[in-house]
Amino acid sequence: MTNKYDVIVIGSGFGGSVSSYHLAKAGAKVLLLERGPWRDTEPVRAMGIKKRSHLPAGSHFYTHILNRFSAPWLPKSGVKVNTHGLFDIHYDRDMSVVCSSGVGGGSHVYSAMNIRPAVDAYWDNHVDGVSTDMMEPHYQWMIDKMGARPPALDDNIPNFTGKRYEDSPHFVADESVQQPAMSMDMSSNPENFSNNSFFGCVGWSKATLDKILLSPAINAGLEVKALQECLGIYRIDGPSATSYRLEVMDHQTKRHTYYQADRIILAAGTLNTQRLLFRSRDNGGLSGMPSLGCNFGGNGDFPAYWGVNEKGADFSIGTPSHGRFELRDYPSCPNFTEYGMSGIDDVPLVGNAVRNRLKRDLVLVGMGADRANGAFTWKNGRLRTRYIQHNNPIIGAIAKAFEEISRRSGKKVWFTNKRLLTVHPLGGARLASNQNDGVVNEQGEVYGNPGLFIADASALPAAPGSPPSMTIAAWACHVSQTLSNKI
Amino acid sequence: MTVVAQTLGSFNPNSLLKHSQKELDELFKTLPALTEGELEGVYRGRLFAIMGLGILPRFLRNLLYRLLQTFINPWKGKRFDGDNGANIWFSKRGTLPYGFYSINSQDSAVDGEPVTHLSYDVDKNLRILRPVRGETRKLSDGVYLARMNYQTRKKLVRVLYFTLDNIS
Repeated sequence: MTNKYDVIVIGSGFGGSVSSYHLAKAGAKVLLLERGPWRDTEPVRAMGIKKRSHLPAGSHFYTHILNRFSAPWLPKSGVKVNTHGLFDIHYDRDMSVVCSSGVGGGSHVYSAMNIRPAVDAYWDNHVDGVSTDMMEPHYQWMIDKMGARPPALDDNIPNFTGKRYEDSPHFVADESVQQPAMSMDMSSNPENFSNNSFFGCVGWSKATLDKILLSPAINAGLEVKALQECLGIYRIDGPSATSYRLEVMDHQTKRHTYYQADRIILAAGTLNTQRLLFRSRDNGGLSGMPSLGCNFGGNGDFPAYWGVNEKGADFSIGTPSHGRFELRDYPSCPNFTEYGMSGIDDVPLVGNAVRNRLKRDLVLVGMGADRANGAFTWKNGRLRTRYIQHNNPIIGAIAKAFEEISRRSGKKVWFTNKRLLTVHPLGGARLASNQNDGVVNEQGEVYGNPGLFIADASALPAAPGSPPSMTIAAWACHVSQTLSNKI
Repeated sequence: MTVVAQTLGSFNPNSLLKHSQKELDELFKTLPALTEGELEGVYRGRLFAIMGLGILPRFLRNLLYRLLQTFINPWKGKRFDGDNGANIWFSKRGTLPYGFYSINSQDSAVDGEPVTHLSYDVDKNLRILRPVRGETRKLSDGVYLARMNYQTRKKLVRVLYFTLDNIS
């Protein structure tokens, strides 16, 4: 049977790419399914991939910005805008989520911050067999692969917070504030410092997973199928072994297709992983998982708009994030990261007034470990997020600090804590020592469904309080290396 | 820690109503064969992917096949008695059998994989029914996917797909 594999990996973000890389290198027959397309970037062109989709820029901005929009008042599966669109927006009352779609997953749109959890001993005391010490080599491996290092003052990076707040009486970004390692080419070429953040990076400056991991994995035998969206997972209990059948929508041919594998690694991103698990359980494809949906959180993400309007400034250039800073003499200050409107030059706007103003303003993101005590619910095929803000004091602390930033700078910080927004949803299928507390065991295998593994942020045991890409990658490393030892 | 498989819920056959014959061919190819004697007794049938109706929009096909699950369709399913069986009509109890077949395990004439084969080449059937060849595989516990092919002089033509689920 040609559609049969040792392992099928669903999703090509940090979880899926890392898993595919390790398993393909270990010699397994691996298929990677990705619902989005290959992106038209220079590294992908160099890989010889023929069918590529534009990133949202220029005349393709409005057609390629949105993949799917879902909201409580829309049909349960949301409104599909464009299969080739970059972002999914899941609007909900308690917390909305934005995530991306395409081969390489979030690495195209992330801010290139490669950082360990802000929470000390993050992996300890959740399950036997997983510890912070044990996971450390996985973090280091991934950071080395991404070629990441923290920016320094003598890199002369435009708008770097370390430089901007050098003499500030209000804010601090010196060596007391840990700057994240960034997977960026920080050499002096000005092209490296534009259009490299939210809307993707066409050039070579940002390390993306398609070039760093998938390209060598393809050379090792990995098969990647883009524009293939998994709709259902069906367990097949054979007399001697369990295997899985996947129902997949091929967006190129607009037909359902089917694949079979002995093992499945689910790494479709938290929201899509939840949808897939709930739907498959409803359809009789999977069983058990009494804790599915529990312990959802937004990693304390809290974005705001800082109307700096600094004369002569162009904050749209620089690294994808300008770096971290803190309020000077402000005890227990949350993490703040500053962003310019990267890529704004390629967004078609009427006139230049709006564009110029956006270039002079900043986006702030506060972040900290929330308690991840929300939940995903599933009713009649509709996924909802439930998150009680008052049970997560970090959100209030960030809001208070935003007000202080506004007061000290004399420039308005716009934010709303009535509608929370995250780009780092996590939990819902957490790591735990039994199926009543979580969904996966210490190897990432789903309780009650042998051979089904989860390697994305939905399996994380708690909020890391920092951008979770390296934590997801480390978990995927652990899951796939354990699995490859068994194959 | 070894993960132990827990019992699966029941598969909803209606999720296949929008599928085309080509899509179902792919699904059928991935399904396991039945164990000997697995089909025994009366099974409710649901028809879909009827030849020629693939040109209809998916929602219309879905609607039509749902209508065929109501009283307007006299075909109710199949009965299996050891090596033989028959289609059942008008009543789900199987009291009105017609369209008889013999049952054996062999490789599919379409994809070469093992299937439970239903041959209508039985004396009791009208001549026109005798070239009908059914193939059955397991979809999930208690639910089976089957297809009806018709052997013409030149080739085997796929007529339709149906599911069988245990009504006991």
